[in-house]
Amino acid sequence: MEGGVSSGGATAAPLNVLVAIDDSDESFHALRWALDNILKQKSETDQNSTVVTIAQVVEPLPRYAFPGGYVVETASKVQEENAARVLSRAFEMCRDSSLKAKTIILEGDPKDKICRAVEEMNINLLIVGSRGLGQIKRAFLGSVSDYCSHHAKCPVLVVKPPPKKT
Amino acid sequence: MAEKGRKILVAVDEGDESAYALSWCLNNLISHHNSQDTLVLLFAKTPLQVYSAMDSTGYMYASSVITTIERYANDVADNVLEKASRLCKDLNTQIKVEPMTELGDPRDVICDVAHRLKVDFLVMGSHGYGAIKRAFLGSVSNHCAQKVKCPVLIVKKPTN
Repeated sequence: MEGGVSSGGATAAPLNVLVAIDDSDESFHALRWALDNILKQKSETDQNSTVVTIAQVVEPLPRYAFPGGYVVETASKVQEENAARVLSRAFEMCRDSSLKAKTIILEGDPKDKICRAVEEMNINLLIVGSRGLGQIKRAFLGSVSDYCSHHAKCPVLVVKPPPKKT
Repeated sequence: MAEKGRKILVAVDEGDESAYALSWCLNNLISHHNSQDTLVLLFAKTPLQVYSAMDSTGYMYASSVITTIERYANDVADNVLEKASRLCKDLNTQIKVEPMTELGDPRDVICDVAHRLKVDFLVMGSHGYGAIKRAFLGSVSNHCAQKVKCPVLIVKKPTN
């Protein structure tokens, strides 16, 4: 790191990629784009050197909102099934591109959890979709991609939704 | 199988962060063997604020001073692009490198060029103003990440 330019990462070390997925079309579009443009190239040249982790963050159900225990159980089961469905779809996409993939479910606030996962799992590249919110909506609704690109410790690839064909 | 090459736009400036972003991209995203990709290195020259000679309230530069300043700015641009091109060639001998320089505010220039050349994605470093403990995105990378329509890769240089 003295003087000159520091080289950015070893060539032979495996690339740990984390893709943040939720139920939305935008995140699947991000995954699809990343598979087609970034990860496919890597998997064709160096086999076994890219590990893709697909992470879905579920917001924990607010316990106080439901009247009784039975409802909470059903609701969380439905949530689990949804999450499993989303993850298996993403996993299939990775498998079709002949990439090693694993899936995890994280519970909590997406922004924090994703950035924490990047640190804990030693991720080299984070891929997130973006809802393409305008300035004001971003300020009010909060943007996971914004937060992650600010705070994640690794390079972040933000994939925008495709332009709507009118 | 002939892979269609990607066109990747990398924003470079005099700082280390963009050079780090460029080398990270070359090391991790581009195959070393037979890459068909094209790397477009873009340097944005901020235009000199020149007041017209008629306006007596601002500073007036003699034309020779303006020429010198412009020549310096062009030298800086050429230097940065040459260093970046050399970095590319060192790390990957086959990749096509296209240096380019445009005049204007970096935020607008980068978005403009990205749309005009229809690049596949954009790579930027981020200065992360160090005074504040939690890293903030530099204003150029933040602005471009929101405005540009193609995917954006933001690489922050690690602090160690």
